[in-house]
Amino acid sequence: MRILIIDDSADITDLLVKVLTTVGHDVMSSDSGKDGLEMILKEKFDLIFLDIAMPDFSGLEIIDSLVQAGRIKDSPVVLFTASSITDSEVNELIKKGVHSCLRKPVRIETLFEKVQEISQLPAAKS
Amino acid sequence: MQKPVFINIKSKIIFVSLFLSITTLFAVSVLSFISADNLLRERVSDQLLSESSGRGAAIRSLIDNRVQQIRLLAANEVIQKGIQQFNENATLDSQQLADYRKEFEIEVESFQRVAGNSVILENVKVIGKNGIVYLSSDPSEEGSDYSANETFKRGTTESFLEFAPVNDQRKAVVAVPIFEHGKIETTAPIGVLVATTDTEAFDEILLNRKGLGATGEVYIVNGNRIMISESRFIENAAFRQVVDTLPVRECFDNGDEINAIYPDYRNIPIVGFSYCARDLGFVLLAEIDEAEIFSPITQLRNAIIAAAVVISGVVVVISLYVSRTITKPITQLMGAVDKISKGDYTHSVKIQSGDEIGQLAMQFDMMRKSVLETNMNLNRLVRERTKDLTDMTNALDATAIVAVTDKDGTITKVNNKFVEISKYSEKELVGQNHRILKSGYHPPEFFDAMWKTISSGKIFEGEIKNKAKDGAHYWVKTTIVPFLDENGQPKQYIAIHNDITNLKNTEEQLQEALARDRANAEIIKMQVEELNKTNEELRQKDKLKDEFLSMASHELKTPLTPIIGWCGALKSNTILGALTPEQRAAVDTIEKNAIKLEKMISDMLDAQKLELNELKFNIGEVDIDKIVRNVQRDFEFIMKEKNIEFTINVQPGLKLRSDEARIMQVLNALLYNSIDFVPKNNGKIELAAKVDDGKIVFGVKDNGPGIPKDKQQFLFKKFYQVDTSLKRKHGGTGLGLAISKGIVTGLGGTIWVDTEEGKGSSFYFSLPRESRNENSHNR
Repeated sequence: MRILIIDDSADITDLLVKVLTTVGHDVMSSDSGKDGLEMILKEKFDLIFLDIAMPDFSGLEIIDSLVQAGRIKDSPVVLFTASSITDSEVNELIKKGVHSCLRKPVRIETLFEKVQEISQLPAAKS
Repeated sequence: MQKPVFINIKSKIIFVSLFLSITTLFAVSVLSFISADNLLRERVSDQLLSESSGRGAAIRSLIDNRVQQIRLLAANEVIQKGIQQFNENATLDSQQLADYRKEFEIEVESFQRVAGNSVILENVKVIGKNGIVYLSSDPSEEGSDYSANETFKRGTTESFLEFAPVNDQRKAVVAVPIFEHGKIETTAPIGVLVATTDTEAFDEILLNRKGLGATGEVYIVNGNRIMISESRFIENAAFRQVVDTLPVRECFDNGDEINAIYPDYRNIPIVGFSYCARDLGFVLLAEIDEAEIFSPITQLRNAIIAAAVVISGVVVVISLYVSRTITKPITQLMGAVDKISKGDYTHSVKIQSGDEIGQLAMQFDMMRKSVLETNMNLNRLVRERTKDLTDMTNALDATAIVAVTDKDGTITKVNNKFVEISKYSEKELVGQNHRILKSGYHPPEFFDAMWKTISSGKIFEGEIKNKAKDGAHYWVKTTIVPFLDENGQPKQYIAIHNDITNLKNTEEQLQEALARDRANAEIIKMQVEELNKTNEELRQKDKLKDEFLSMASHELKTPLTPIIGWCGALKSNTILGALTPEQRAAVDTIEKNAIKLEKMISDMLDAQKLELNELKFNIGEVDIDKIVRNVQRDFEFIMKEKNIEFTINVQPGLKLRSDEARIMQVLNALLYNSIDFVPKNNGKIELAAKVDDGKIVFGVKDNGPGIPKDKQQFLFKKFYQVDTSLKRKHGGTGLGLAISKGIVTGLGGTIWVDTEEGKGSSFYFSLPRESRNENSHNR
């Protein structure tokens, strides 16, 4: 699977890249919201882990941009956040086209389960 | 209203009857006059016209006739021959003359015989062309000179007849020219024959009075305006009487005939018709005195006047009688009315009359009786009402303060209560203006408004502060009722007062108290505003605290992510290679503590939300079986590690509508709590779930030390620890149970504990099949 991780914390992107690469995925990462959005718009991913609180361009702004560009459904977006976003706020985002939400910190097993769940989704239309 | 002029009925009836009869008579008379007049005029006109034209024509033909006869005589051969000789030889010898005379006399005699009575020749003269009488019936005339004679001169030019006096006798003189035999009218006449004839035939025509009444006459007038026939009224008028009247002038000036009313030669108005024969030198007039013609009309008038006088007399007598029969009962009725008008209703009206007046009298009597009855009823009613009124007045006097004033406000009457409250005596009050009680409390506009109300006839109601004689003020609730006269203008006012001094005093006290309260309220309001301000500041601080907490949670959880993640990666053996058992134990410890730290952070956040009542729920379909699987998975390792016998006793297939994550959170809290407290060895934990009384009841039982009774009540308080000593065996923030209680309560359920010291603890919570949460943002 082609997986993109957007998170301003290099410790977290390094961890995810390492863990997911090990199990055989093609993993790319960006520690900048703007760069991450450019990458999403440029190419297609099978899964995107998206942090919300980022200094330059937040995950919510990326989601809004994708919604406006009509690209939110192109790649399954899983929020990966430590913020105290409430469940109902998450539900609003899911309505916009986000797939789901993982709350930091997360156990590696949970991460694998999520990747497994996404891989079993019917292939997204290009 | 104008007072009618009194005319009694008698006069009116007489006047009307007279007026009617005389008007009728007058109308009939006028009509009769007009038609009689017309008729008369017509008849007289016809009569006079026929008289004038008939007789005129007769005269004319008689003249023509006589002239013709004389002309025949003039054409006699003897006369012609004689005059020729006379003309040629003016001096004839006497023998010749005697012969001629003889012949002439014979001819005249024979002519007379032939003419008979139609003409009587009285004198015949033959005049020569030189004017000398040649022959005459009167021989004395022979030889006389007629050359200057008018008759002769005219006779040489034409034949004519004229009336002329001869020896005081009226005669018709005819003159005709004599022409030479066979040369008539072609040569000059050789002489003139003048015949004096009788006027018998003319007088027969003129003096016949038939059809001319008593004053009518027919006469003729010649061109010299001289009457040439006899007058009916004047003796020997012929040739003497000048007649210069209208028809005479009309005839000789214009040749016109007229019919008209004009003064005749006697200067008496007559109706006349003329027959104009200017060519023959006369005008014939047929005239009747106007007075005679219209005498029938005068008679008629006199008859009418007489009839009018008689009728008027009769009418007056009849109307007098009628009016008497009418006025007599009326006079009687008037007498009765007069009595009644003076208030005496007891006299009955008795008039025996079958006509309208009798009925009127009868009805009047009935009216009188009914008025009498009504009067009696009224009197009774007045007595009753007066008594009612007296009672009411007494009641009013007993209860209210009453004053009566005239229209200017001057007191005319006061009751005892008024005297009592005002401290003035009745004597002092009556005759004074009501203003005497003015306290000066009310502004002048107040009284102006009051006067405006009552003087316009409306009732005034209001509260008035008055001043008594001793200077004390008292309050009265006042009603002023204006009593109106028949023009709707107030004639007096009744003021009814009630003493409300006590009420007013209480009201004033109340007002003061209210004012004080208002001041206090103002102070409280200010304090509340201050408090609000403080609250706002506090809220701001609280918000900052919230923001700080959520920031702290983010900042704390972010570093925990790589820690827990890398622990997992290390433990996987495949990602970073295999670990030695010691290494693995170390990583486990790191991971366990990191997870504990994360849980503490989450609990703090939840506790914060609980405190702010901001705990949010996400209600959805909850499958208990799935929850049980998750619990098994999450706790399998730790249970094994801690050597705890973990049993699950859950009724399969349970479902409800609630918040799955929050139920998990509560179960986690309860399970970790139990894990902390079970003994190191032989620890036993049981998770149970079943339906009870329509609710789903979860239970977590352990075989831990149990909780002392005195501590149980604090179990669900925040940060509560049973053992607070520094050496306490059990860790944790002390938030788990408080948060669980908050969650369960928020989902509409209850949480409780069943424990006894030394006998383990059982924590239960029940949830309704369907949770409703107002704070839920989900659907």
